[in-house]
Amino acid sequence: MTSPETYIDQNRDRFLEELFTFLRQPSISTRDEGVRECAALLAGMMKEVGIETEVYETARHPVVYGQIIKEGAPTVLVYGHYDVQPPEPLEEWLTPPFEPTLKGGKIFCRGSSDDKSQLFIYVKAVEALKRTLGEMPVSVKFLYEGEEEIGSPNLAPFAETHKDLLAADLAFFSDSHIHESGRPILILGLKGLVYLDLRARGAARDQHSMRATSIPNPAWRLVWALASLKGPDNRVLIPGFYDQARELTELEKKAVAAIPCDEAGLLEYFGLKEFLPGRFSRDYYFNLVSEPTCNIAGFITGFTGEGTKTVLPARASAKVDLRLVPDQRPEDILAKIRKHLADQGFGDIEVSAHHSLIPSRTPIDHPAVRLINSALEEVYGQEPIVFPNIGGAGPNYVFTDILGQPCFVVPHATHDQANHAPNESMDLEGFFKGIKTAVKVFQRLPQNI
Amino acid sequence: MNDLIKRLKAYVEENRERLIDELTAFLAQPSVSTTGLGIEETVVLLREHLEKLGFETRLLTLPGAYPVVFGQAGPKEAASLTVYGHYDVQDPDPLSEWDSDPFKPQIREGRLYARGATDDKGNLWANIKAAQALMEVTGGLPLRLKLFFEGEEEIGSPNLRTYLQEYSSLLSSRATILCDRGVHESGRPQIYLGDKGMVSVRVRARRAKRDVHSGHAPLIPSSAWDLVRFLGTIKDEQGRILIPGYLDEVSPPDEEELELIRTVPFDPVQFRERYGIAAPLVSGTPEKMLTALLYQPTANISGLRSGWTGEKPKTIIPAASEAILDFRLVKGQESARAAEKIERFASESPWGPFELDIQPHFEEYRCPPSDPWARLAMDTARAATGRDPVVWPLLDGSGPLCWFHRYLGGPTFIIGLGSPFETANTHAPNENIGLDQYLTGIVQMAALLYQGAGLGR
Repeated sequence: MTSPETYIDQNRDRFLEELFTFLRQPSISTRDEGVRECAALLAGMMKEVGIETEVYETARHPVVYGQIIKEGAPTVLVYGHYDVQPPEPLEEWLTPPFEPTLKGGKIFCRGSSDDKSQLFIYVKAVEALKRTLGEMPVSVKFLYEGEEEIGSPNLAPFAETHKDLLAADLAFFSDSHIHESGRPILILGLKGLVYLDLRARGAARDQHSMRATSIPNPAWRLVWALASLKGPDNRVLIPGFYDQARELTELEKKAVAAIPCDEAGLLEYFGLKEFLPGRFSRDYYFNLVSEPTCNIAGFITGFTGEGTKTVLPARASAKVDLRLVPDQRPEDILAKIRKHLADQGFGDIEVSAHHSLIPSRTPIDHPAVRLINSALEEVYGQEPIVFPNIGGAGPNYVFTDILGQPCFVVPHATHDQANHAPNESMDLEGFFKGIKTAVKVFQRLPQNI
Repeated sequence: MNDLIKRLKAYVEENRERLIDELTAFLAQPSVSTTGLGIEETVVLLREHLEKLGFETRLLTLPGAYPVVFGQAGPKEAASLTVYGHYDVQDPDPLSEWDSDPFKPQIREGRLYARGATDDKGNLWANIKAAQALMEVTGGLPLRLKLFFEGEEEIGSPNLRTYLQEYSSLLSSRATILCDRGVHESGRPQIYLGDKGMVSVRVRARRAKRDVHSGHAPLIPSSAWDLVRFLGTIKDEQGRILIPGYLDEVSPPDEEELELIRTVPFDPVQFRERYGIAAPLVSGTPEKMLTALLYQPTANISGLRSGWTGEKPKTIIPAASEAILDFRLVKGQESARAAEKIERFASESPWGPFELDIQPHFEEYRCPPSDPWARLAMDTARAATGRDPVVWPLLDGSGPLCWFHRYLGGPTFIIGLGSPFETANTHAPNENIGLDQYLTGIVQMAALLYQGAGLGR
């Protein structure tokens, strides 16, 4: 009997050809280009390997849902997104953005790493298992959305309304990239996010600044309000901000301490003399993983050109993003900010929330962690790095929070993937390593959870 | 003086049509300093007209600058007076909002509509006509009159200071009067005896080499936070400037100045409504509000810029952030000392380092209300119009009076002969001057020129 791994090796060329067909189909969600066609193409490819597949309509772009059920076995829910970023600026692409091109062991194409190859891994893993074992060792469900690049507006609503359909023992999140050293990575969580617009208003129109003693200046109001949010030690001063912030467990701290860190190289890369300290530590990854933040993403008011123009602005605005750790809740943090501003006398500052994401952190002692780690180590030949969570935010909460599933991000793209940029690429071997990792994990799951 | 006023009024009445036609012709000649349109022609026109009236004229020049039209007349041994005006105008854009062509002056309901009608060609022309009126009514100028007409006011007078320095002996006289702006909205004549100083400041914070994904916010120093927290230490929420020693030199108005303030009409309700604000920062009696407006130093943020400000959310830690501030200086302050205090404060800030660009622009200047020339300006304004002038101890804005005083010697102040600010539409479409305003201005300035001779040499 052929092993799944051998089957994968024997079918390399065909897998690649199929992936290229998938990659050739543009699916630019932000401008509705080819998204529906791509959903149909993907659904067809999933059906071909025996996955029961259905395209579900949402308010905008469809969800491609599939399932292949093994009665009595654990169920894995795989998440990915088949939509891509726009390819512009076109003139910077060395090869056509929607013509997959193999060069130096990389597949160049828009969507190659983010996220089409990474989601296609699981379709081919199912094929390899079915064709070699005759039946699936686990049930696999597929949730492939077409709106990730526009902020996944319908993912949470879809999960809310399809909880039974999506019920599973754990979720695989196929996105992101491995460590720059080439070591594989397992990510157990993401931060949450609250994104705010702060607006201050003064006179009806911009005024001559000679009246500054008499006419309130919204730029000052905004500056004072912002300054009240953060203390000299960089601590966020919103009362209760840190109350719910979950600290790292001993196991998580150990994992964080094991993350390789070239601090000198990072300082050089960012052009800095030192990094900010955290509340408890000066350690780079400890702070990146465990500190919630309040960041000013930008502000603007009045005259900002060259030379001198003495204006007293009529309005001023700032954008603020707060990154949350488990168990901070976006709506609670938002309420605390509003209360803080009101208490500090800044009730005149208009606060509007753009969107928010709930933080997630799957427990590091979940049995699947060891299972995934050993599969990764066997396939990559290197020990994986485990992040209890990363600094970025994303829709993982859909799985951890709405569906109540432990969620594992297992990336197979490399750090130089240039996603969202020209000449996006997927590591060719990463694609096959991904399939092999999935095959191993799926085979061993029934004995381990 | 009453007899003189009567004769001047009669003269203006007799010559009304010609005086209006002449101003119309002057306004029809474009002189846009931002684009250079018609500047040369205007200079020629002005100079020829002054020559025709018997002025000895000169074009004062500096490299890269529009020329100053200079003219002098009257007995050399008599007391001298310099009058300043500017012949350039603001760009008339947006043209579609004008009811008539900005350079084809049109009279509608007693107002002459054209770009520059009040700011400043109407003011300037009234002075030439005042000199001519005096020559024709009394047979000559009793004082030595020096006319100084700049062509770069609307682009910020970049060379004014150098002109005053370079030509100080030619230009200097017993006093300098700037004719610009308008009468008070009540119709009363208006005089400003001073203006504020100013220091402009640009503060820039640079931290990481480039904008960084805000997922790194626990680690990356933020230019935005450092700038905001620094700015927050400049001024408190009560409007008090917190820079050490900054307020030490600030002096309150003296009794003489307070007396003037009490005569300036000021309606707090109207002020609030005009600017669309719920409450001014300083409220109370008109005297209290005006004192704050004129005698309290300011630290104003006129611009802030950092990071991402577009419509959709973007999460970055901005590498660079910038603030543009202006500090208005009042009685007792001096720009170099203020600049030094600001600089020290910024360079010692715990939120630094910052890149600083601190420019002292003007000094504050106030002509004492008891100065004989100021008194004369008030008296002649009263005599010409029959109404008490509104006399501001100083303008709420900043300006170049300090330089006139420094380089030309003698007191200096501003008389507004144009339409009130509220109706003149200066710098805006449909700029105009009331015809009566213009003609009264001629009488007012002629009376001042005549009486000025009596203030000695």
